[in-house]
Amino acid sequence: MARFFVLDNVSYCYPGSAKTGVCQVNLELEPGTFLAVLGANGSGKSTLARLCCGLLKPTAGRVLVDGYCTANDEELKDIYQRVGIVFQHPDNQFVASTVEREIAFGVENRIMSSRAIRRIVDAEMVRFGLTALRTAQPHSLSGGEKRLLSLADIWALKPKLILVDEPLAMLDPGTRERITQLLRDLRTEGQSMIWFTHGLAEVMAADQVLVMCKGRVVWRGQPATLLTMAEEARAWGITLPPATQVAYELGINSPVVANESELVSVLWK
Amino acid sequence: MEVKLADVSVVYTRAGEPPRKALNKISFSLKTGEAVALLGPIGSGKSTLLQVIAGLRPPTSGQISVRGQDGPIVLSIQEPHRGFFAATVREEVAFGPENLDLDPAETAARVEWALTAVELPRDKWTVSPLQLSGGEQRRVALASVLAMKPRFLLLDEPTIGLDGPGEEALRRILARIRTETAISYLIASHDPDFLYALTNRVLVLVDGELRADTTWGDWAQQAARVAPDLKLPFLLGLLHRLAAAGAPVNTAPATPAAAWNELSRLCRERVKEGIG
Repeated sequence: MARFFVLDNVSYCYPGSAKTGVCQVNLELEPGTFLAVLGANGSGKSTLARLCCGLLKPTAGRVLVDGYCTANDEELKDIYQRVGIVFQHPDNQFVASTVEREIAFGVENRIMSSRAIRRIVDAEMVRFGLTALRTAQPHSLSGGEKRLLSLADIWALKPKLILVDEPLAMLDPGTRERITQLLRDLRTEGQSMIWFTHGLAEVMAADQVLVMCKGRVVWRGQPATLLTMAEEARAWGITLPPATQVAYELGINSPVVANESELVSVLWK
Repeated sequence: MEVKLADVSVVYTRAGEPPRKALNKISFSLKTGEAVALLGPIGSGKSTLLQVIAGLRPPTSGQISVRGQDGPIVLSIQEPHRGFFAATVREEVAFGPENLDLDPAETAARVEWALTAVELPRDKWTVSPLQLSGGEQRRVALASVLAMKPRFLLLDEPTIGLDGPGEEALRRILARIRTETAISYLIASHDPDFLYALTNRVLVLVDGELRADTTWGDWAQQAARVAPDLKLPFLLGLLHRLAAAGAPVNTAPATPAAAWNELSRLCRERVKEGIG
């Protein structure tokens, strides 16, 4: 039976490099799932993200999207229509000379009337707060604006599965908050999403967490369970919410603390 | 050595747009041995200020003077690893000293020292910097500015893009280099926890104006009033929330160690009460 999204014993080795690839990853996703992939820099999570959308082909195993396999070149078009990736460095994905042309670029490759394209581009510019920058050059935007544009690019295509690689990295606190809210909105709209990060606090709302270390999946479970695993989290190079970390270092084992308010009430009821 | 800014302003002008004041009459001085945090919201002028101090951007008005210069002032820009161009890590780090016209033996010694100081394993010194992981690339970038033996090292958002362990390693390396050499830091960052651990003086820029020049303890008292959008270091914010809830804690510890002492003391007292 064809599942929506399947990683079947997927491995990848970089040709001629000692760089960590990924090793024997298995995964099945139901539509509407929010999966978090946690791991340190160099744990293989960005490689896994590229495997999930067909930008890299596994050296062993299979990646299946609605039954289409990323190993078959003739099926890649069907994969690209279903899976969208937002890269860690937004500059890597920009191709057009203005913000609105950039958002329109992907949509124009779909068979659609120009009025329908216009409507999508306008709606995404509003959603991502980019309307005032419609004629600006993508590469001239601030870091936060680039991040918003890179999300708008992919959103406009309405893929079944969205992959976001460290979407909050390199942002100031205000923009982080804003993007967190946008991603939360998408989640409530039922969007399937895989969020790759090293920080647990970002993905406490995930349905499932998969931890990667040195290219392998070393743990999977609920995000709340990870709050009780400070020693392991440290060894894997993933960051716990600061309140959880402080509680751990103060020797507070129970109750489990997920945020600052809970820590305040444990320390001073 | 002392760097002194007097009424420094920078105005950006662009054709067809009204002039924009990036810095407005900034005055302060930095002395050898200091470790200073530069805080401010996005667009508040932090990068511009670092460029002015590094001599890369002349102020529109005001003066910047350096007294008793005994070493260079070096700026490490945002995402410095993006500018890598040399074939090997060693050559990348040697580029700065070579341009200071040092003899080859001195250059080699500095490269050796800098790459050791940033804890980069020796087997990585002869590979292309582009083959390294993100965290390692950042350490090579740091080594390439350290090799110029700066008196003042200006760092613009050094933690951007680093994960938890990467940030911790950078923090440890910068702290150790400061105790081993007479280097001074001025670090602009959005990460108040990183800054709290490394610095003992806080400069706060808001809309191009210097709104505070003070200690961490004092900054914690006035932050909510002066720049409510700026996050306090987690430990300082926590102590403030505890105090607001009625807990008897000092809300102005000057260092993270002092903040930990406050929290540990409170914890012990709670345990004692629990037993009593």
